[in-house]
Amino acid sequence: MPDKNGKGRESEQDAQIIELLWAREERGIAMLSERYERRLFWVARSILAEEEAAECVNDTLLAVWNSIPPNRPQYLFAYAAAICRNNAYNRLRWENAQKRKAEVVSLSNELEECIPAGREMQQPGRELERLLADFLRGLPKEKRLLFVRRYWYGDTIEMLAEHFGCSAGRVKSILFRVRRQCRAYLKKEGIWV
Amino acid sequence: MNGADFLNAINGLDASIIEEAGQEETVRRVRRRRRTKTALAAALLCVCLTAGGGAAAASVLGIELFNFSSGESSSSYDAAFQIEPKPLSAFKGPIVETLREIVPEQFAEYELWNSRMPGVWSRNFWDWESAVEFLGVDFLRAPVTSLEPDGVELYAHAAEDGTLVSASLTGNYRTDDYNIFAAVYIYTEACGEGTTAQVFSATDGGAEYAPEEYVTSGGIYCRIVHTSETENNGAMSEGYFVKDGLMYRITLIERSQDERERRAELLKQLLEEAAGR
Repeated sequence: MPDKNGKGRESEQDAQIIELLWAREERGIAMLSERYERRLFWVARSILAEEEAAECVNDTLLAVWNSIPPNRPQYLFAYAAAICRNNAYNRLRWENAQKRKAEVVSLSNELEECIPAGREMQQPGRELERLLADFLRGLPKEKRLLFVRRYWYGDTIEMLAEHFGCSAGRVKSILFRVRRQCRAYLKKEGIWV
Repeated sequence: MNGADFLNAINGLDASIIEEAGQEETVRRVRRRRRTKTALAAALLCVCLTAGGGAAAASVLGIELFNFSSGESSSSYDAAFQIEPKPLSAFKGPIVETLREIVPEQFAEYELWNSRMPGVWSRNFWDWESAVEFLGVDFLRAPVTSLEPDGVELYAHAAEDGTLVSASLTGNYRTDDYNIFAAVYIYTEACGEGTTAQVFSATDGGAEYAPEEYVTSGGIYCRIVHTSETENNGAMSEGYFVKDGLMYRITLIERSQDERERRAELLKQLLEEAAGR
């Protein structure tokens, strides 16, 4: 049953797409494209130039088609967006042999602040993902959304300020504090030796 | 681990958190934004290979420039050239064994969400000599020696069994006025015959392009593209030529004002130097 925001209906549509993909019905990929292509494009566009981003979305749709089955994601958009983002960063590594995209460099520099000082992390990857998810769930929603929109979706400070209805200075300030909190959290969890 | 690794590592963040942030509808409405002044420095490059038909774009003189487009959010052009594949036996350096060892593992362990693109491998070197020695080839020299590189980056692209398909070497240089990149693109017989290599140069935001032709004192035909951002005063010039089956690309990015004449003069000096070696 959809709630007042239509979320239930959205989930139903996602479930229908997954069922179609699971049954190898090409209509599923057409529906996925119609429903999420534009949003996936903006995930890729925050990392790549426009033309490459469009290619990246096509690769993503193909990858979703090829991976469902065997996978049956609970959140279809998040599933496709994660593939899209990974594809985009892969393209950036391969294609950008000469220059680094300025916004990505900026994001990387900011995220340096999340890394506790000391020697190497013992178990990067999945353990980091789990701890980061735990950390983010513990944050107020606004801070969590700001962090994820900035560092996962690659939104600019100006976009976040406009979206959240506050100044760019406030966005920077919140992100700065969240990065410090994140560093302290990771250090407390002791995954750095 | 550095910030870039961290940025990569969070790709597999819990799907419910990604979904929650992705459902914020209004975010999309403000997506069409102006880019920053760093947009030109953010120019993205890609190299792709096309068989057969794409070859028509590459002229017998070497480089063909086409698809110039300037839009509100991005601008780009393509450069193509007919490759002259190098025999795999010409590569006698450690790269051969390195790729044979690493690449099949990359493919075997590839995970859709989290893995880097299999078949792609890179390494940084202090100088050209070390990078060329790693390839173990005798047909390649440092294109620019009048400047000291900050480093030389090797990108190799291999087939699933680790056979080298293509490689690029890019020297990074920095002067008071410019960031400079000198790149050489190499293709092997694993590409197949009749293949055209295509290089894509893009900038964020609108741009004006001014193509130019130039012939070096040694008779090497070069294509030059001067790029000026229409709103942000960013500017760069890129020069291309083909010699001995290798494509060379030299890029100058202005660090301050757009002074095309001065930039073009330096670019031509560097093209003369690279083509004369």
